[in-house]
Amino acid sequence: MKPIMLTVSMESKRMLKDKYFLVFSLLLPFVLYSLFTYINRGQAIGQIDFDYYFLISMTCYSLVVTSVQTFGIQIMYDRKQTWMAYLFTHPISAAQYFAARMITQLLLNTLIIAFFFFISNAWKQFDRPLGEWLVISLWLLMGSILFLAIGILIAQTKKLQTASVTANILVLTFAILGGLWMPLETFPNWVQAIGEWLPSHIYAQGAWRIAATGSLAFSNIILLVCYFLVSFIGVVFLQYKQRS
Amino acid sequence: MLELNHIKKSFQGKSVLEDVTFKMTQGESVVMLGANGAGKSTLLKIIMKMLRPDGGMIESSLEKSRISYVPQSPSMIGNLTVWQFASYLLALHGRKEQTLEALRKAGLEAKKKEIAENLSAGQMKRLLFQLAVIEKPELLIMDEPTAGMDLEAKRQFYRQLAAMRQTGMSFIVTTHILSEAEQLADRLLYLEGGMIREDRLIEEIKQDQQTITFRASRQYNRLLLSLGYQYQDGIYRKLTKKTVEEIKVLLDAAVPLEQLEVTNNTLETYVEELEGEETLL
Repeated sequence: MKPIMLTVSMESKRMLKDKYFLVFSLLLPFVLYSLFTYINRGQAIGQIDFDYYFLISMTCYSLVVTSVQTFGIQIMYDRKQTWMAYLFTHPISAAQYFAARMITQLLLNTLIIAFFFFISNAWKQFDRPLGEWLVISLWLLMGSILFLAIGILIAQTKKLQTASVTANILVLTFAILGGLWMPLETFPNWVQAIGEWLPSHIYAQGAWRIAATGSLAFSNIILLVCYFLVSFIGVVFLQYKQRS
Repeated sequence: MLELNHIKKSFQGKSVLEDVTFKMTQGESVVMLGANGAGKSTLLKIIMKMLRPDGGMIESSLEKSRISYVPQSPSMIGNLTVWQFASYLLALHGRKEQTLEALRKAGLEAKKKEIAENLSAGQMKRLLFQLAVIEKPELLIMDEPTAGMDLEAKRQFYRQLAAMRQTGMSFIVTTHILSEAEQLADRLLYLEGGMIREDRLIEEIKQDQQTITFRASRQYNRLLLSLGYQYQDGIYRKLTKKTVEEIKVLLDAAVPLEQLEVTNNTLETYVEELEGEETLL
């Protein structure tokens, strides 16, 4: 347990100094939020006020960027720099290290959710029950585990450049086609048909649904679990292939 | 303490270690030499369990925590200060309170607030070495430990290592600096083509062959060359295992020898000879 706690502490210090994290996970989504809520002021999506709807979208986007891009590329970079190989000559196992990395990311994801919810609430004065905030936060946090698994999957790529390009394309696809930047309803039908099946859309849809109806759709949970299992099996397979 | 039997390793179908077998006892210091790509770093990583061999067996009486490693390439991570980096690794060993001591010995106390990734290669090596030895391991494995170090840092490193050898600590070290190899170890492992070609005590190598040098009149040139002597800058020279017999031949031939000297072989000349044979092969 001690190596995990030490690594969580070390990784947290490291991540909070990471300019990429600060710019792409916090600053950019916040700027986009300010911009789009200004452009679409007074509008509503379904039964939700646009400001609130887009708060969920941008929080999801930030979590996807952090988990897939920042986390995935960082793991890849550490692996290429031989840091991990060197670290494992010390009293810490690979399982402990990756568990610590996951915990750190989940802590950071909690911080991201708190950051967006507190700032936007102070700014926009949403009149929402605390229970709803907590359920949405929990949903976003648990769902982000899938995107961490996708980040680890990308980190299995042999070349850093390939991993970086793949992560960028994936994040943009998740953000745009998943309806995180603009509501999916504004796209042509065939794009909507694709977007509805993307994990980012299913993820955000779960939170939007809680905001609109106060309940979760069982199908959203099942689909995200399926995506997680596929990513997890992919990681295990690639790890096995590399070792052999 | 450590026994490797028929270790094999290949990467993407290319064999790096063909069949490596050797044994090491407590207190031994081994220097591993060989051309680039001979498999030295791979072998060290296999001993450190950073890589799995494709074949063969490793038997070790040592626990993983009793083996320390100084890697060849700097292994730093971004955004951590020198202090945070060192204290994290030492905390994993339960020795966080010795962070200042390690930085002081590495001569990096003044740089503790700097980003670790920005240290020079030599500074990183000094730090990684101090982190590796702070727990007084039973076996210390070092891959090119002095690469990038300045002269003073090297001297300090040799002094500290000599003191540790007195305590019975065992070493396996790779280096390209042959003069350094003599200072670092008692035993030589020479790797070639993924196999151990030579496994000998350095003292034995030095005593095994000697170099005879002398000056002589040029009228004996043909005779001396036919006896295998090399001539350069007025001096005849020959590396031999039979010094007494060689000198007897010269005396029997009545060659007037001036400034006759017999010196023990150096590791450098021995390895040069091995490398020469390797090139010919």
